[in-house]
Amino acid sequence: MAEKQLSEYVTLVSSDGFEFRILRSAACIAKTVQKALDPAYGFKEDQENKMTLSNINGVVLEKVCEYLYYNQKYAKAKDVPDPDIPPELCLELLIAADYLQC
Amino acid sequence: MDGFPSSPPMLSRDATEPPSSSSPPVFSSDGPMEDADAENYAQRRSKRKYKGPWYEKSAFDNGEGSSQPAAKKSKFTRNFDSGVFMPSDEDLPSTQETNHDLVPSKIKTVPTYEERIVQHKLSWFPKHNPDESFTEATVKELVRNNECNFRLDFLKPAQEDLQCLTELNKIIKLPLDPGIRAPGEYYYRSMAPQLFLDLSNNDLKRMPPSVFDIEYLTDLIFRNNGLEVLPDRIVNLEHLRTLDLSNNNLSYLPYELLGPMMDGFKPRLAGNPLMQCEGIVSDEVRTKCKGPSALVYYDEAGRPLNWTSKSECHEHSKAPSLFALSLAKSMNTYSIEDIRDELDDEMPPEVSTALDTAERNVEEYGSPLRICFECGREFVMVKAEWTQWYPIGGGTPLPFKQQLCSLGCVPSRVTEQHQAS
Repeated sequence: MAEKQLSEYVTLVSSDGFEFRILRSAACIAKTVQKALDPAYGFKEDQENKMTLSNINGVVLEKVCEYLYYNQKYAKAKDVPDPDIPPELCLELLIAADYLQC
Repeated sequence: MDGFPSSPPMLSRDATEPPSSSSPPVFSSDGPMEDADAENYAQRRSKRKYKGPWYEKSAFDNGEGSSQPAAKKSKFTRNFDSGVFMPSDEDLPSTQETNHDLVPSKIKTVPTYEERIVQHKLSWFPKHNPDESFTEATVKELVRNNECNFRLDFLKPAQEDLQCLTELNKIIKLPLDPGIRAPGEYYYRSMAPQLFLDLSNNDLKRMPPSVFDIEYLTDLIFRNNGLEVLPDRIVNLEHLRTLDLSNNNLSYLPYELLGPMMDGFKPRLAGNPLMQCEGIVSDEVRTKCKGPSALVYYDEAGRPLNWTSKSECHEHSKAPSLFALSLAKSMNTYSIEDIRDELDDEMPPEVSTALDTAERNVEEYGSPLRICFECGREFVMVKAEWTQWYPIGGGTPLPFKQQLCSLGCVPSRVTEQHQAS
């Protein structure tokens, strides 16, 4: 069976319809996304390269995407700066982070 | 009483105030007028002194004439409480108690709780206040007296009673009184006090967090308390010289204490079930340190992680997890109760565990957030921990446990040692 070429970018869709196209490698830092997009499991998300997160709204998902890139950038760095987390979003981000396992 | 001048006599003063031990007021006027002459202006003219209030001056003039009233020898009587405790020999507490030194070489016969209260009451009575416990009253009274020695052993206070220990920051070392001479260099000393705090025999399973806020604490005696964890905040007490932790329940020390102990700080640790170094202690271990014990990683919910392969367990992103970041931010923004209320119906189990841990941190460390030794970030959940044994001053190796905020914080020297073993 020919190995299916994985797309470089994937799309994350928020509950209110915002779409974020981010690097697959960054998106897979979140273990929930990684599992959903894993071709071995053959979920619908893998075929469409798109994952809908029905419990995360656009504002929070934007922050999550920011974090995923931040994590990717500093994964091997020595001195990691703190990302900016707005206090009004921290509880929603906590729930989102728990759901996404990142 | 007929010679009263027009201004009102100050009778009320004598009537209400208790008799004073100080000498009566002295007033003066010009000396006898017959000496006042234009020819003897060069001669010294003495002022005339009157004992007693000014309005009785006329009485002296009328009665004794110009002769000066002899200063009456006042009898020193004291019929009110001066607040100074001057015990007789029978009242004195046992000599063991007064000579209570920092390092008791022999086992003393410790006074019972009741005896201790009696001893406390001998010196002063803490003012009774139904809102205050005996401990609080004791601490407040000692602070009021600007005392530097706080012997609070055998009082068995509740944790919340010891909140008032922050009051100890109000104490200052009073400047020396040079008397009438010009103050020498010695008199310009620091006003920072040297505080001694004895919390022995109090059944305190945790060290009260307020202790770590006492800036000038120099001696902390914490014997016979069943203490299980020594909080890493102990290193915040930079003036601490004596730390007595004998007969507690410590199985390890915080890694933060290693630095001060290498520099010669020696806490007393006798009678603690400290973890023993496994295997044979080689000479190399005696001189350097024992490799770390099993490195344990935890997931977000505080469960130990089991890794399938060794390589997997040593590759982690250096960036902290979003969960830990937003958890720390939430703790800084809201109280734990607020977060519980806010997430009431949709609380994931991991968040619930994290909040429980935060509450335990408040009890043990005084704050829901701890500071990571490696990266300096605030964290709630311990994600990685290991124990390492260091011989301090050639003695038996002591276990130091390090707890870090993320998997990526584990330094490579530890992972390498761990992989090699």
